[in-house]
Amino acid sequence: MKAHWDVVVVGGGHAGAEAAWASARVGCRTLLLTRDLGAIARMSCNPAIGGLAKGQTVREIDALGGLMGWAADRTGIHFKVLNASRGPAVQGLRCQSDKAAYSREVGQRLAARPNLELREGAAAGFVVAEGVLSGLRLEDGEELGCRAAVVTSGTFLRGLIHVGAERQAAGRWGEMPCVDLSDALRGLGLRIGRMKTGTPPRVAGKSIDRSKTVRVRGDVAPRAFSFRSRLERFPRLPQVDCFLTHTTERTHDLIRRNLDRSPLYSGVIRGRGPRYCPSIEDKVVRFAERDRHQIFIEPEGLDTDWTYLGGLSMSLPADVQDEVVRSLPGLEEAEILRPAYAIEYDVVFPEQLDDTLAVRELPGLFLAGQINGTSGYEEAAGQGLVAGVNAALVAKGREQAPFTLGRHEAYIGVMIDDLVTLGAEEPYRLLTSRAEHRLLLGGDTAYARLVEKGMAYGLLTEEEAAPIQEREERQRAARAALGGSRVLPDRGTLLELEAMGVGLSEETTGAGLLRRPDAPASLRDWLAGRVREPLGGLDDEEWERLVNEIRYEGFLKREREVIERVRRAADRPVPADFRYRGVPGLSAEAAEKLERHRPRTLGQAGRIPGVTPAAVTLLLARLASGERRVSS
Amino acid sequence: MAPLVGDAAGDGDVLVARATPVGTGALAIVRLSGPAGRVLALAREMAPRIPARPQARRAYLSPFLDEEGSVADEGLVLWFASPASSTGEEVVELQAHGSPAVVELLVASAVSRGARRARPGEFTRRALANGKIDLARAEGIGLLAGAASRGEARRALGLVRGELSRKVAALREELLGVLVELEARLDFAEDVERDGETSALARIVSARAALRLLASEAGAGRAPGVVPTVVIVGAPNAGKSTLFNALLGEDRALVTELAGTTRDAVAEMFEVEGERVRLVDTAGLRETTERLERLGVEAAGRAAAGADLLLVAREAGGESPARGDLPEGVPVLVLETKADLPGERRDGELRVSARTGEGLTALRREIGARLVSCLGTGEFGGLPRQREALLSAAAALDGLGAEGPAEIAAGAVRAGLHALGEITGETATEELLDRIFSTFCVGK
Repeated sequence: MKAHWDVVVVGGGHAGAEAAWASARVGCRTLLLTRDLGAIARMSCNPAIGGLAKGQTVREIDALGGLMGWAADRTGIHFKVLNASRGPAVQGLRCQSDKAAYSREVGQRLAARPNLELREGAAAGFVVAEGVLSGLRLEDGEELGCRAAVVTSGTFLRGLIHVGAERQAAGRWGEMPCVDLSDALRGLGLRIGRMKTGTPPRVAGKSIDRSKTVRVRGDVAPRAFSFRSRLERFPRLPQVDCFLTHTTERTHDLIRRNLDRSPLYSGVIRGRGPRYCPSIEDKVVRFAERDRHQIFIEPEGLDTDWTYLGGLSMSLPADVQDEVVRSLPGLEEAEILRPAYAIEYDVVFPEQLDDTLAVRELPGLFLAGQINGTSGYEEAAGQGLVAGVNAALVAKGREQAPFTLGRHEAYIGVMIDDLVTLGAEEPYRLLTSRAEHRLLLGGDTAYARLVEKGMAYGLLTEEEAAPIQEREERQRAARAALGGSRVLPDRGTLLELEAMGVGLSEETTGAGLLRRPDAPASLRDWLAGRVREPLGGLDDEEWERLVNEIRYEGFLKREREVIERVRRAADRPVPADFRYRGVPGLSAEAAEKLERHRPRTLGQAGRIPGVTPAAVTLLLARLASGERRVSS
Repeated sequence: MAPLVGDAAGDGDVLVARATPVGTGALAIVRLSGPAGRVLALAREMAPRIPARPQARRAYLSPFLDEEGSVADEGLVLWFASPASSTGEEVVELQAHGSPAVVELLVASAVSRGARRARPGEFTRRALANGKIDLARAEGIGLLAGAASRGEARRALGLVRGELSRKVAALREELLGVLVELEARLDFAEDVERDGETSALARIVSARAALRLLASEAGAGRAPGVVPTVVIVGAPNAGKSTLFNALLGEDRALVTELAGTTRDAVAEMFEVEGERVRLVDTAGLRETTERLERLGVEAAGRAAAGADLLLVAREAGGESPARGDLPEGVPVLVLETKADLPGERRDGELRVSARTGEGLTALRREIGARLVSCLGTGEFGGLPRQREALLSAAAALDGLGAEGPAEIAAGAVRAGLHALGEITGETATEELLDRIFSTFCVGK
């Protein structure tokens, strides 16, 4: 079949948008196919981007030329750094965005992108020629020739919505599901699983009595996700507050009394739900000793009255939902605009993918986002970006090495490695604790980690990268200057330092002073005054990063050494055709798991559940003896 | 990553070996272990009365056939299905009469039918690979087989019975609990109260102390076959060689009334308080110009430097060697020799007489007590690797206080857990999130 397109991206959510954008940037003729062009990058659940581990991921996407961070900045109406009192590695920037504005913003960027066309339609199947993907068949029967495709079907694969006993086949509230595509994936021989997620009720903002709730303000000086926002007005939209209320004894009572009407509890829903995003039924049952759970009241935008009740996702019938919502302080008169619902959908078990997110069984086909068993806009976007670049590389004839990110390089790398080696038993969410090298993966270092790679793959032009690199250069120069600037305990210096409450007994450096945990903020200005160039031109964020790097220096160094040690052992490649069955001493269970996951390296093998360290050692012994045989 | 279980060759072979000690006894057990199905098929060729579908762990009486198919012996056969067997594989045990010749016939018979002779430790290795035992217990089995003294056997048995594994498991549990508290607060800042973080951080400090204590219980950790060394030093003619012979119970070293009789360092193994010890007699320490004696004094210095315990012999009323003559860092036990002769007594010193036997029992007991510091106080232990893992787990937690920062502490606790995993061969990462979600109500 004639390849009319280099890459076709199926689905226009957060994964699809980044995939199409990345593929077009790499230089491929790209088509984004979606049921509804008005629903590009729709925030189907909460109105927020970022958070712990997720905020770092958004920065990574930004450093790789992606859309999410910039769109969030331009449409953000409430910014907050979580864990602000902790170290940089475990802080997380999050913003509430105006949902409609966000969707519009991303849609406009995509529409304006050269090489990229947007079209309404839905894929129903795959055209395969000589074992390789050669096109897609649409639901209306049309066939589109392409060299590679990225499927980002979100919750649409045989999506089924539950509100109490009422059920409706839908991909999202009021949207048609994809049934044929699910069958087509099964037809490829892929193992398909079923997962569940949920979303809370939306209520009319004007029906809430905010005087009975707690006001939650955003940060006084909002931080931006994107480097691009430094070059333009930020924040662009007026900033608003969120509010906090809580469940009551009556809420819990209602839920307990009506548990039999919740399909989550009556056994109707069999898909696995996310434990980190439990339904309110789950929270009340599993943590029965808690007398309240907090509920976040978040506006969905500036021009809408729709308000999101974070923490109240459930699958109870609509009449119970009314009572539950009205049992919350401040929501006694609340009007529900759309009930909470649970949704079940098909996923492709991700261990059937390689680390470029390509389906092993069908070259040319890539999967990204919730179809791979993840949850979250940021997780989807990160995968979309990686799948989009790799699909483009395949379409261009694999002239460049595959685009992959290591676990020590990016949260996106941690996520993809987890998915393709561990699989996903429940919807996967990024957490900082999943990253063994999280000290190195702070949001403040994303550009230092990834910009060069982005440029090498055409995701960022030199012109775009210039201000980032300038900033990195300034950071390096500042670090060197602070390390080299001597501070002597002479009379004048001692007096100046004493005025700031800083004591000095022996010679030190600027870095030495900043390393002290009690170093006052005024020390920055003092140092900037002494070393005007390059310290004079640093902004707050740059200072913060500098101080953090100085304070965490020892830990970071140790971390890098560990990485080097682990890498040497874990990077030992396992041949793609390695026969696990018959490795002496290897249990049948471990052999079966290894056959299924086909790890690329010994490190990946060791992370597969059920593969014990002893089994890894057996593999190592086998690999080593194989190498000896080959070399002798 | 060092191989934990060594190199193994062959593809899922059926292993065969005698499982009882070599020698003539009433019974000898020949064990076969291998992939399910193959072992039973092979065993039925050798012992035709085993039914095609035997019951597990039931004894069947059958003739045993040799290579040629002639009856070599008759005895009981037990069949164990995988994974409920000692190795986790399918296992058959033949209980033959104890003649070494019969056993060899049976092993050869199994080999002719496709089995392979097991190399030393290979059954254990398979048990380990199949998760039947953990690493510490597997190593205990190896040590027990080579134990040459009651003490070594006792410590090895402790390992086999899981004494170390249990204590390590308890510490691992504690560290994992701390990690759950920290990670929940780091990753779910909006859901989990910051209160409680300080007490979690404080638990790290006590866990660190417990790790060091366990390391001391496990002893200095000796490679198999390496025994503690006790060196007798002292001035010439202080009675060192007499004491040496008395402790050994034989006249091993030459004894004369002449100062400087012993020239070279003389070593012998002996057992004291159930422990195997290398006892070394040395030349008396003194300034000398005589070449041979000087070489002997130098040899004494070298032996003393490598000792685990120095016995400093001092004639009653005589002088102790100057502190500078003794190596630093080696524990010293000073004793008065020739207790049967008149002389000045000093309080608190052990007095022995090789001639009358006075004080020898007390001396043996004292040596045993002093050796605990290098052999360990625990009822388990033995390998340097195990002790190193405990100490490196403790070292990973060094420098952490109750003030955090939590993400640094969490990283250190992970490193500590990783080090503990090297003892038992377990990793912790999979369990962490499960525990967070079952302990804390997190998520919107």
